[in-house]
Amino acid sequence: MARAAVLGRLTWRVGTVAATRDETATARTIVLDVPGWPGHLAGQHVDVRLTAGDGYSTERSYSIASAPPDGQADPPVVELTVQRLADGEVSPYLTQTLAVGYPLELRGPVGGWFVWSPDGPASTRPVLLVAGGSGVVPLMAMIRERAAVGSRAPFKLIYSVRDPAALLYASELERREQAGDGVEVTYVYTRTAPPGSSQPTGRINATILASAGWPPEESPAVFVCGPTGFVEAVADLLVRAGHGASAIKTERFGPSGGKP
Amino acid sequence: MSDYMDGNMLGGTLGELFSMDVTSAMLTCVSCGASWAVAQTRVYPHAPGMVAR
Repeated sequence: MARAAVLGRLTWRVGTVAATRDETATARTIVLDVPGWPGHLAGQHVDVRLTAGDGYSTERSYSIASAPPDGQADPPVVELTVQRLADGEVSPYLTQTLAVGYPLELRGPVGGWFVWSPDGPASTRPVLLVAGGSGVVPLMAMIRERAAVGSRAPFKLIYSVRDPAALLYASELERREQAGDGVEVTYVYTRTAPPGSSQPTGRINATILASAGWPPEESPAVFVCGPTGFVEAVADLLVRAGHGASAIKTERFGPSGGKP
Repeated sequence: MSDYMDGNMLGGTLGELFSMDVTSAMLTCVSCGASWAVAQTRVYPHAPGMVAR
């Protein structure tokens, strides 16, 4: 099943919106029924294509938020979480207009590099996830996959976010952490910390990575996802702390969304 | 402001051409010998075509 996700040429297929869920004031999860979906790996993304009545069409990439389908659901379900960009061309449609029953054209699953799979040596290897803003989405798929297959690989998530209102999956992350089976979450607020918090606001730095992450000697698998500047800064800090460059996988989303 | 995007984004377009995942494929620079996965490259999508470096 898992291998099917990376074999075969990709083609466009049409999913149907089965449900939507507001995650924050500006982010929405879209639950899609996708007949013929071949399955995916946690961390992969899809390309979404919108076509206007005049034939103009544009594409964007969105990370898959859900764990791979278990093979029971028919049709298979794929969830995307989309952050609305104020000047966006595609995200306002996906987060405000798209409704249950609407079709959506997608191509995927895409990418076999930025993925976590619970099989083989990865089954017990510690994992460090570092998220900047909506970069948490593909990392959430990894956390959900870990739970879905009953993996005991110890996970640590460091989640940098502007303020508490911008947190995606807040209650689910709390629940998964409280389950006490090996998922630890550290929040880093860049602008406003929760009321009563003694934690200073600011960016992720070497001290936070050292205290909330794994030491290099534990040889963790590291996944960093967020805006380009965030990802490159965190990857530099990790390499300087002694993590091997080959153990660090990154996914950046640029400021452009694709517009010239 | 940077105008490049992530090498992971090439997976969709190239995935229509190749029946394997290309983002894990290693690229080696003929000039300096540096070696990177496609996913690690910077992609400039607004050149004529897409340029990865």
